Amino acid sequence: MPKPGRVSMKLTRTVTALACIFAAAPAFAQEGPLQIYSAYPDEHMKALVDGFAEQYPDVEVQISVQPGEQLISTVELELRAGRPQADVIGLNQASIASLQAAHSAFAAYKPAGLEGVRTEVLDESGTSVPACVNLYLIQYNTNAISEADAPTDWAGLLDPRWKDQLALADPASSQSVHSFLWFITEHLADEGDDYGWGYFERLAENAPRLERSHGTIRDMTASGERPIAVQLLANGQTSANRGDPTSLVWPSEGSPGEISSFAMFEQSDNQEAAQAWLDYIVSPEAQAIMPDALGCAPVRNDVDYTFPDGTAVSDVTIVPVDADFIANEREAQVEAFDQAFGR
Amino acid sequence: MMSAEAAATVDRASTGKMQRSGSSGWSLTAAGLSVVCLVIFIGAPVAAIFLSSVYQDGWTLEAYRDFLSSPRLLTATWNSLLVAIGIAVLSVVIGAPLAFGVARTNMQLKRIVRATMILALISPEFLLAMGYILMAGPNAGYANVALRAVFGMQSTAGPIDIFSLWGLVLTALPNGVAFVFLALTPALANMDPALEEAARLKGASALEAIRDVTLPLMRPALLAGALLAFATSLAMYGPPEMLGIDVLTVSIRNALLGLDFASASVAAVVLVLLSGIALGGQRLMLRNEDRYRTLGGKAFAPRRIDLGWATPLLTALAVFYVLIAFVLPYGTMIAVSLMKSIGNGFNIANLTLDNYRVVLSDASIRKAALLSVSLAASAATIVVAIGVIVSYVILRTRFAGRSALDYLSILPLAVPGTAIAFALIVIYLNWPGNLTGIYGTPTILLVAYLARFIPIGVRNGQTALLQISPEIEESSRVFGATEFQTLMRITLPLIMPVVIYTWLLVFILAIPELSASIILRGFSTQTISTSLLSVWNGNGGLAVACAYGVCIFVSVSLLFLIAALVGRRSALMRGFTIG
Repeated sequence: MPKPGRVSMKLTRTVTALACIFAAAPAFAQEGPLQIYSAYPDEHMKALVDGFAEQYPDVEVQISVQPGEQLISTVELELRAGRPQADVIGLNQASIASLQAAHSAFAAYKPAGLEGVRTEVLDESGTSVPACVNLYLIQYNTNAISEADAPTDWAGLLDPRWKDQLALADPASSQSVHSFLWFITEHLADEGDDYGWGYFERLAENAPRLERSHGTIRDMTASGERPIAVQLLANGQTSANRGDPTSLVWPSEGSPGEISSFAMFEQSDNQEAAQAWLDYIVSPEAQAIMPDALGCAPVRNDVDYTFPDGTAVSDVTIVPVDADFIANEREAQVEAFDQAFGR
Repeated sequence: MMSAEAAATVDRASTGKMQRSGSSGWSLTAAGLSVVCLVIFIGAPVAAIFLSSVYQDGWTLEAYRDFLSSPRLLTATWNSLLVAIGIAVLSVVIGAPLAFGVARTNMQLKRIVRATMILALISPEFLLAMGYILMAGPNAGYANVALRAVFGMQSTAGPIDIFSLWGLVLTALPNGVAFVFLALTPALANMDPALEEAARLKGASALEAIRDVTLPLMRPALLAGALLAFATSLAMYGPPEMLGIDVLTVSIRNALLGLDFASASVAAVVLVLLSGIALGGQRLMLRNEDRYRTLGGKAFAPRRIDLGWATPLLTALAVFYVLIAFVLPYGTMIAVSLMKSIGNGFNIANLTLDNYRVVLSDASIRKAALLSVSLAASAATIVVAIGVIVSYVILRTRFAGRSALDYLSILPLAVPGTAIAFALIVIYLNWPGNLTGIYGTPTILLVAYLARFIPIGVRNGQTALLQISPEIEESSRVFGATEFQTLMRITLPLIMPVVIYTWLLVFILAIPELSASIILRGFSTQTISTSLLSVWNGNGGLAVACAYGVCIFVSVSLLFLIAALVGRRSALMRGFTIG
């Protein structure tokens, strides 16, 4: 049995330690390293962080990843509490615009090297800095579906033979899939009965699995559990890197391209490092590794690129999305989607 | 063995008069501290849940009207109930025969069944869900592919669909069965065999004696186990989220994603009420246990029953349970964790240890692990301290509000983690909670963990104090020691083994905490469970997630082994709660 005096001393020490834990805990949050909230997975960010470290060896970068829609809600709550917990955010352009409209949370910044970026991807407000163009395409499992059987267009996914075979991101949880929703319900709305909200009503009959993120969908397709999916180029790239038995289809109607971007919080304690990150993102060095990093198409004109399946960029119809519409109509789109899916 | 609560009733009555101290300085301090802690960590969050459901810019029942007119939320409520009832019923159907087999018959594999029950109880719920999804995905799940091949089925999907309500029941079943099993085995082992023997002498067969004598005697323990399984099923978040099934916990999360606080609050209220009814029922069952008590002063060992042809059936059920609850899901996870590409199957060319390398070398995973360990250690320490102080006030002082403290301290058992997290968002985003500045920092997670685990500290603290004869403390007082000195020099050293055991228990339960952590996560608050879910959801992929899951399972099991060894060193451990 321990001596009573010792117990008392130990208890005093424990209480002191606890007081220290309580006092120290809030201080974990800010200062020091460049903190980036990212909707892009760690494995996609790693190449960018390594490249940045070569140019800015004194800046430590920390990344915290959450699926896009969850990240938006996390940041919204932090802004309500008074301040965001990061210096920079990585989201698509429409989501950053939506957060900016609601909270004016970001500082405008024009990075050095922005003049080399294609004008059609630039954010007019100057809030978000484009990193790359992420396209929607169809990914399928080659063990389960032959190339001849794979659909060639978006409308092909409505074929009843894909019942219980499909996967799609849930717009209530995924920020990116709003680009696809816009493309089908707005951009192609006048192209006949196969498009508009009727498309999703018919797609619902094929009972696609609605997943929270495109990463889960990538693995579901690779495993054959959901052998065909509405997918983002970045995940097609990851599958190609891993040697997954999957292939890509560039649908004949075209591919909506969302602009993966970064923006700097107005309240960042680390503005200098944040600006250095934004400078780096549009630099030729970062753009050259973008296909291996974020897994999508560079935004500079002077960087060569071919898609992971060997398709040339010129062979794909890329449709730039309407970021304003997506930012403003997000809630209404989710409601309409829920209605189409009867939930 | 006398249950903790029954012992509490007896001892409180007999020792209360002579032991309870007057209002010494220490008593008042302890009472004050208890009130402050329980109000901050428990009272305020529970009040916030109920208040926010009826107050949005003024008093209103609008949120309840919206809830009742939302098909999606009503479906979620219905799903929650169906799944919880399904789990409770099936847990009894599987758990009761296994408990009877292990406690009273000569069936095989008893030790393996006991070990599997413990493993099921300490397994984070989302790990089993991962295993089941890989195993029983309708199109490519390994079990489905094997079943289709073995039975020559022509279809390309099924026969099992994990992405269904039944699938959700299956993922949580091992845990529910373990609750029923652990509630029943002590009761069965302590039963007076004379009752069964009397029935046999009157001509009843072994099975008839079980049906007419044993089962009715076991009813309270059986119902208590089933209600606990029901309540924990209502509170689960990971599996329904991973399977994509709308239940109330997922609805709270979805409502918060859309910053719809009104819907979140009503979903939380409904969840708390349903859990409260179940746990109230469970406590009622245990309270009336004396009516069914068969333990007298005479020592006896219950007779082993030879069930004849039914014995191999019990062994077969044991094999089935061990396979379903442990071997198959964890075996599948280990297999997938060794694959380069999940699409290329289990063959030599596709084998790799890279996924483990990723897990062990990833900076964010390391950071998450460090945060989980520090949070769990801090939570365990504070829970133990609060547990001892509150128990002391309840059992050893005359503080007028001690029975209110008793009830307040167990209230969180009925409040699922998602609801606690919602309440903390409401409190710490608004005045005056926002002045603390803890929103978005690890401290808010610590507050959530305290709210979740204080009941364990207080319940174990009370049971420990009840086992210490008040005369020992009185002698110390007679020789001139103050009340505080007596607590530090006499009481605390005597209950130290329980304190250590409780610390380890809370530590183990806090490490994989998911339901509150996922809602409160921010930049510096990724824990093991939230980062694992993130890896599963694409930030790394299924194979890396499986390697991560295997690492978590091995760590938690090792920690439990240490806790069990510490616990075994102390006879005081008997009768302590595990959750």
